[in-house]
Amino acid sequence: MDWANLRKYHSENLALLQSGFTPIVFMGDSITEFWSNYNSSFFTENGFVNRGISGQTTSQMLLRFRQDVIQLRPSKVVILAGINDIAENTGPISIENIMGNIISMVELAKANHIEVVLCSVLPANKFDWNHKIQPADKVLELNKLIQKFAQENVLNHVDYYSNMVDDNKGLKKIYGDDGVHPNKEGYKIMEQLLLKAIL
Amino acid sequence: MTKEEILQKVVERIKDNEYDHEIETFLKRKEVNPDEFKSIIETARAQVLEERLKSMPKKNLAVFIVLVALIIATIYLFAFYLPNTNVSQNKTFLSILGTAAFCFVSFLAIAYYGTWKPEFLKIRDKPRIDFTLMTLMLIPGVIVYFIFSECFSNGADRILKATQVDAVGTVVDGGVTEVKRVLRSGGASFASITVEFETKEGKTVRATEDISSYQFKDFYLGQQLNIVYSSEDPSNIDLLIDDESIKELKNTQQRDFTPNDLLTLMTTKKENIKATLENISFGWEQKSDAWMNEKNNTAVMITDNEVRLITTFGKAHSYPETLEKMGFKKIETSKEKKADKMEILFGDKLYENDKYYFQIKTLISGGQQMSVVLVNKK
Repeated sequence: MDWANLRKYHSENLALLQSGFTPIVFMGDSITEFWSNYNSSFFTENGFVNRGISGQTTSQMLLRFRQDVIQLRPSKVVILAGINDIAENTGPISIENIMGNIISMVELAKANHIEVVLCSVLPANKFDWNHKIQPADKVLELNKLIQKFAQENVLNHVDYYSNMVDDNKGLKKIYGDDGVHPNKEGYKIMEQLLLKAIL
Repeated sequence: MTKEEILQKVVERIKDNEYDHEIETFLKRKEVNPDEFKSIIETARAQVLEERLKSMPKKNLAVFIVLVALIIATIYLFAFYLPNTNVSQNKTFLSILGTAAFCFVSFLAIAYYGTWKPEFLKIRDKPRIDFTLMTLMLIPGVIVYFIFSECFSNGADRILKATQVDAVGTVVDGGVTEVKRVLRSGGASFASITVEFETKEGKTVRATEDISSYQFKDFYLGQQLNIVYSSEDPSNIDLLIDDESIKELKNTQQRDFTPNDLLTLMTTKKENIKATLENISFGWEQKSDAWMNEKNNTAVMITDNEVRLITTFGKAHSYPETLEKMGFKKIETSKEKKADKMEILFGDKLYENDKYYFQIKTLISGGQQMSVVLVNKK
């Protein structure tokens, strides 16, 4: 079984390698994957390459980090990960272990001379697919660890959370319809924040 | 020598394509007054031109036309005729042969161009062909080689598409050839793998297929691959390893399901279901009452009143938006827990029009976030 879904971007990775292009890779889950559906020109015009896979946890991303990031020889990697770990998509996992996986990705990137842009997890206070989880405080806790790690290691940090959170620690309705995934307006504000940080 | 005899000798020398300075040397030897050189040569040239104009324009033009016809014949032979015959195994040799023929005939045609005009005939009757100038054909030759080579590849692909037979091949050999950098632009590498398979007639065939050197690491000895071979020439094969080759060979669109596809499947006759599915993507297998596509992580179950699609979450994410564009209305599931016969769970999205319900569920299975889309007749 292809647990990390290495197959998904296999052909695209080959084509990219053949082109000799040096991209900026976006590693993430559905929030990253659907970004291209809403605004593909944001990626093509800026030399960004989307390697998001919906539903994935940091454990799965860590497994495919070599194939989908390192082997593409990017100049930078934008990591936006963790919400599906909190949703327990691949089973229960502690916030420390989620952070551990993110740190492992950062260390792999740095060892391969890839600049890291670490993003805060987007706010969420419910999951459509797992209503037993109360994610709001876990998201906050993970974001604190992400911010602290980014500061200590002088990494580029993009704080989507503070700009998109509502009074109930959820995703502002204007930025997302299902409480987890951004809509066009949500991606618009993410684009502004990200471009400010990386370009 | 009389003046007339000298004039005749000069005529002969002009016919032998001698240059003016050579003729002048001859005249000096014959102690002709240098003031007369120009007029003697001019008179002789006029005589030669008169003679040449009687036959050479037609002759040279005919040679030029034959050469142009040969160029056209070469192009037809190597770019159209041969590529549509079963010669795929000799494509490199034939491309080189075609290029050599094209370059040689083109070089002669260029040399003969304009040789029927009086301005040319005044100086010589036929072009002086210096084969060292053939090196000028090097760059056009390289271009023509790639064109012929491409034609042979396309021809082989066309034949394969028309006469394809599915088979499972085993990787038995393979290699990468590195071409060291000659120019500043760097080197290149070429890779190929050899697969062994059995034809429908029971014959074991080994065939080699070029692949990208980046793909090479994905293959290993003993690996089983889906391939197609030509029934007319089993050495002509293609590997069904990427969307592009599958699209090309299997006439499929290799795309994700849309809500419209699911509505089409509601009304598709049982015997046409496979063809409908294969039109969307390749690789469907029927397992009891479900159609499975392992490569796409997708399954479809079709009954009289329901079509059920199970696919990765990302592939159905845009369904709500698409359904709304198609005129479907969202039913608020929090207020209405049941719509007709359908049980609505937390997080499900339900849409309806006057004929159908669309229900979209999200679930986690084996570490993958999946979407289940149910279409029901009302």
